Amino acid sequence: MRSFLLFLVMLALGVALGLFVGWVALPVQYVDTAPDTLRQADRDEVILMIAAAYAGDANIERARARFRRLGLADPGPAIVQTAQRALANGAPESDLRALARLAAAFNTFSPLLDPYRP
Amino acid sequence: MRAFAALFGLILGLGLGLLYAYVIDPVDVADTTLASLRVEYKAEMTQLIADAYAADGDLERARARLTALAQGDPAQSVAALAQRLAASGAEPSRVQALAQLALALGAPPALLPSTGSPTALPSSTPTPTLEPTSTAIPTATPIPLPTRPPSPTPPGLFQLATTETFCLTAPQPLLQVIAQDAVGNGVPGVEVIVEWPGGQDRFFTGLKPELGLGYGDFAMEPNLDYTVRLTSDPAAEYPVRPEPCTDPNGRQTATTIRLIFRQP
Repeated sequence: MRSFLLFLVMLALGVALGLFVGWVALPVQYVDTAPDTLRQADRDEVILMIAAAYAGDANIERARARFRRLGLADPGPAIVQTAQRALANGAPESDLRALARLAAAFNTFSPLLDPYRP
Repeated sequence: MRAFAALFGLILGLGLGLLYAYVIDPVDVADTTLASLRVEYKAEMTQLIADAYAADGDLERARARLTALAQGDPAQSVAALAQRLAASGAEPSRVQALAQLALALGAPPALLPSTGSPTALPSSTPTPTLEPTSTAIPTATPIPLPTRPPSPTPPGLFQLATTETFCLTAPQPLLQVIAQDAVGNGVPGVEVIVEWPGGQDRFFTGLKPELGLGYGDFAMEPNLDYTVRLTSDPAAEYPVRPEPCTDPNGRQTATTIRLIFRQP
């Protein structure tokens, strides 16, 4: 009986150790990923780049294609959310102007971006 | 008996835990970073960084963004993409944006495709006033073409001036030969012989004028020994071997070997 209890305790300990290794210590490392799996900070950076590029070339179809890579068929809300985080992080005004301009191009308007609209 | 039960329980439990954590419910494919993107997506991001740089002129920001992509040396990776796009006939304005960024990052002009005169960058605080209409698309910059086809007659003897090796995210190892005159101008029409065990091929410089009049290249197989000779001096042999490179993520990438020949 004691042996069985010891077996169960060690089994539980082994499961816990396995989960710790698999989820925390040595989690699965993904490579060759697609842009639609990017973490929030990197996604925001990409959206800022799209806004900056759009400010330069005014090519709305190119911007739309780039948003599709991020898995965003309707990029308006994501642009506003990025602007909210950019504002909270003290982003330069030029970034907010570019985001406001890009949001407007996608027919998205927000009081947050109104001061930066052209 | 107890020790056996304990050991068996621990091993079984560890196996079950690992099975669950790695197979049944692994860490989600989310929250990935720019560095983990597939190579073709990294190329798209590099283009996006160049387009953003062309608009805002913020070099340090562009450098930081390229560093986040983890493609090795930023200048070389941008220059390599510019070359590949130019060779594939991409829109000249996109090649030019990449070339401008590569130059700003310190890439040697010899690494870059010819895209005409660079356009001045805007100030770092742009005040865009254009409306998103089709008339706002920048005009494509034509790639200069040679005024005459390359002649197969070598215009003189050359000496090997430089051998450079690059680790680039290219699909296949590449041999690049650049023939220059005594003052560094590209010389078209120089015939290059490439030999490897069981095979031989020839090519001329100047057939890809968008990459320079003295430029010629040849796709190699990895880990194969090649001998390069110029028809103008067949006695001089230059052995090359494209060993795979390893990028910062530990993945093997193709090698580009560049031989620059110069007239004395």
